[in-house]
Amino acid sequence: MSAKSGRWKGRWKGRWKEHWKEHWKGRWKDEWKWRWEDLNPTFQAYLLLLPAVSIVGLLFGGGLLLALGQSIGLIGIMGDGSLSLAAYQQVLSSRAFWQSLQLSLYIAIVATALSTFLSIGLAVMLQRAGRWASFACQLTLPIPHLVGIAGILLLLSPSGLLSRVLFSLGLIASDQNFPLLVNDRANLGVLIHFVWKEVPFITLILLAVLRGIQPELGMQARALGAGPWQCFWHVTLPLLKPGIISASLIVFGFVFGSFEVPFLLGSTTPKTLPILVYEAFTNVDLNQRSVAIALGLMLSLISMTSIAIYLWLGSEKPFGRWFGRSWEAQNKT
Amino acid sequence: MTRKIVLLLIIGVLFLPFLPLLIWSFAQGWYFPQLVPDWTLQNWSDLLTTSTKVGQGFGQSLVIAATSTGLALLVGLPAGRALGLRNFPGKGAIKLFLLLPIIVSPLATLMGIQFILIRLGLSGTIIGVVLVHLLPTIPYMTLVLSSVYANFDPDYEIQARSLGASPIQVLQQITLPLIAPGVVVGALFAFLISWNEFLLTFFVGSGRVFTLPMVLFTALQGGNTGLSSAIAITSLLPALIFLLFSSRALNDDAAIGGLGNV
Amino acid sequence: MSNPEAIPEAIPEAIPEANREVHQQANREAHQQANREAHQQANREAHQQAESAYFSVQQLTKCFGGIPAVQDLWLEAKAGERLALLGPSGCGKSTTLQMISGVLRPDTGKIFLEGRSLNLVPPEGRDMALVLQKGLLFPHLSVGENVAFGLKMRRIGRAEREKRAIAMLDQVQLGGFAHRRPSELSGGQAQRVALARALVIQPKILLLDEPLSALDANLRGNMQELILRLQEEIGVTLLVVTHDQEEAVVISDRIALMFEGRLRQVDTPETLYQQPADETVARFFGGVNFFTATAEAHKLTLAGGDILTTAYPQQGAVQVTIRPERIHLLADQICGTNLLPVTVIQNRFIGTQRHLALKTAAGLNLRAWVPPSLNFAVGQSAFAHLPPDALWCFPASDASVSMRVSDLSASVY
Repeated sequence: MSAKSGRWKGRWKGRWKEHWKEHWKGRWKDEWKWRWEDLNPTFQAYLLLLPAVSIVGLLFGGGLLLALGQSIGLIGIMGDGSLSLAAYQQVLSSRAFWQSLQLSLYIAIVATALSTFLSIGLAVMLQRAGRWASFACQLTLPIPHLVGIAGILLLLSPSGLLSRVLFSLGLIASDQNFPLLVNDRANLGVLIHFVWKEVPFITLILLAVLRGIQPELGMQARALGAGPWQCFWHVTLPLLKPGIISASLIVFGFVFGSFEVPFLLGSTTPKTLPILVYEAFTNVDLNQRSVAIALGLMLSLISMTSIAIYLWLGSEKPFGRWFGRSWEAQNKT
Repeated sequence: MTRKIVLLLIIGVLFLPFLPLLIWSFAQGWYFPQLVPDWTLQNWSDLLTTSTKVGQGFGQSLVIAATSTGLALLVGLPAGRALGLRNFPGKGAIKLFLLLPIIVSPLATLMGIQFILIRLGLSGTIIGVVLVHLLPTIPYMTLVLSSVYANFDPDYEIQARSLGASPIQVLQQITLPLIAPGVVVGALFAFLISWNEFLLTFFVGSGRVFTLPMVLFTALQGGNTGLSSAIAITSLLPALIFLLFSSRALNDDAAIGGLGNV
Repeated sequence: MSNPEAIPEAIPEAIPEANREVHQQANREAHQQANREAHQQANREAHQQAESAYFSVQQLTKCFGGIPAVQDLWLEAKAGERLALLGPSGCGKSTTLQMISGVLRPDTGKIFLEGRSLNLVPPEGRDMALVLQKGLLFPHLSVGENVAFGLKMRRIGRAEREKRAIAMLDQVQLGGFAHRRPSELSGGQAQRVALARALVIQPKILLLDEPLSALDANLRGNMQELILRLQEEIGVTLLVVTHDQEEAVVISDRIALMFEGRLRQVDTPETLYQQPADETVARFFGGVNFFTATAEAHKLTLAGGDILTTAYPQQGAVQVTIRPERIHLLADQICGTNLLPVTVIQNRFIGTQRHLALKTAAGLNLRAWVPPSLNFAVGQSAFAHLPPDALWCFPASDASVSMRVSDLSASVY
């Protein structure tokens, strides 16, 4: 048996050598150089993307799966390998969760909407202000949130700089008279921080998009009889739409999942969802660990759902359908 | 004219929160009605003592941000090329997938990763933190580089090949020099994201990896306002470098514009 | 890195029999009887010479996603020849150029330069220099560094490569520009630097991709002159790809005309103008007069009964064409042959010429480009003289084509 296979091996080796001499000797170097260019361009693109996508997939997707496993008790410190939805039951039946969800959504929606509207106005206004405007918008872009939080605290707290200025001007009698802007129930401090931080970010993106729009388009619209307002509404805004959507999407996602800003600037009760997760995660009771993870997964799920809704609303479809109908109707008559 | 006033106003408002930070960092016992404090350099000299952990935090932040930026650059360059220069089925889906770690709250993912990092003994280590920092840096890097590549004409490469450059020479002599400004912006961006990252370090560092944002967070909770302000200003150092660079390199909108067409 | 074993495969015996049949079939359809024989003969000889030709492309085929972009393309060039690959956009000429330069790998087929197979040679090893449409100077290098780029890649010392780059810049009349940045150059200057950059590496073949189309009209003439002068001085073999027939005619000795991924006709510019292989070729070169006739040797009987004489003998139903500038228009009947009484129905003055539309008594529409001094009023009667050597015929194509022709001539009026 072994002799047979040995002989077979020998023959195979001989063949391989022959094959090498005949087809590959001296040629392999050139052949190799051709390999990459020979690949289907689509396949090339996938190969180029493979490292990035697999790392992100492994970390993000893998992390989510592991989290899911822990939350239903399949794996983890407290998991005994049997499936249990207790953590989810506990989350969904707690009043704190629903309050937090409400608060988180409120902050995310108001902060995103405020920042987006302000940015659109700013971007259109600064459109021809040159590079200076872009530079000004970059001022807060590289600033860590924590530094912004510290600055806002020291500026707007009852004993903050603004309060001192008002006092010395005689506008308020004591620090008790200064309106509560941080750690307040309406989370004004949080909103102010996000607007301060995100308006420049969105404006920067919109300015870049605006600069890519040919000014001739606006002129053409004006030449066709559109007023400045019509021109903005029918030409500039639709062209800005993709930029607006992606920028506000990033902002919404970030604000919704932000931890340190509401933790340091926000109201003490109710808390936002990320803070709830943090508290459950750092709880000494290890049973709370799976609750924390279940909460975190709910958080991810909710933000993914809202992103999907947002993208769907932003796509051509919901409105495009109406336009499509009216066009069809026109064609029929 | 009005536009200039508006611009100055915006810059003023944006700068406003830094004002109390600056004053506090040089202040001593600045109590409420006082508008001007007693000046001191105590807070800044405190930074240099080891008990504040500022030096250690600075070093760890630097190592983590530099490593994760380097790794993100390594995977971001090919990925950005594919997204910027090629059209292929599933491109939109891949872009959206790469955006997920930026938009979706990372909390659940973090707790999942934490579980495996503990098993691997990487929880609370710099390697573990670097790994987690790849979550936001790779997507940002890829998106910025994809728009850098979209503004790069690949015919330059064909031209160089036909003049006798090998693929490696083309990369060294043509492609990299031509996309360098965009790559610098992307790298600075990724560096800053990692440098400023708090939540990820907070969860995975297990209190043992102490980056500058962690130091600042602790100081803010500790209540020493003067020291906190000094730490906050210290942690702005790379941001200032970024602004210095961006006033020049960001002049073409390519890099930042990339975030606008995701 | 040549592969000596690959060369014997190049000789015609290696061509699959079926494929050669197809190739000949295509020719048969495209050419008229007399021409066909000559062409086949030429083809046969060409195949036999494949080995000895300076540069040759054999049976080149490339598909993208199953759709053929270039099909069974055969081409060759002598050393120092100027060859143009001409065709409308999307005809596969750029794909062909990319395969020749090595950027794209052909699905099948072979490329030879001086008897060496290039199939496995990457672009940097092909001794060819490509000049792209946009000039495409590397913006991060100075003009001098741009020109010296190819030499640097060949690891030639700094002093030597600077000397050669400066000498080359002098040759394109840009001496003293070495330290400028590409952004400081005009379009024409950039194109000249691109040319210098390609020629300084002394390529065996210079490949030009639409070299003039990015330039405006008056610069174009200068650039053409420069290309021709440099080519004569250096003697490099030139392959120009263009969609502009005027550019191809001025620059090249021979034009290879391509449609839909296939070569249609390879000939001198004169032949393509005067003796096109079929109506598509004729139309591409600005042919506007087409009509059917029955041929008996030199005698052509038109549909309306008019009889014309041609210098090119034919038999049976034929398609006749005549270039509009070859039609003479006479006020009076002077000589007897090939004279058709016509009525002028349109007169357009375009500066250097006058474009007239004519109609014969039998209803045949003709277009004549005459000197501007010959001013005929619309409605005026005249005589059109069609010289026998200007009347070129090819076998009548199927009904759809003649339909199209009549549609076209109808739409003129």
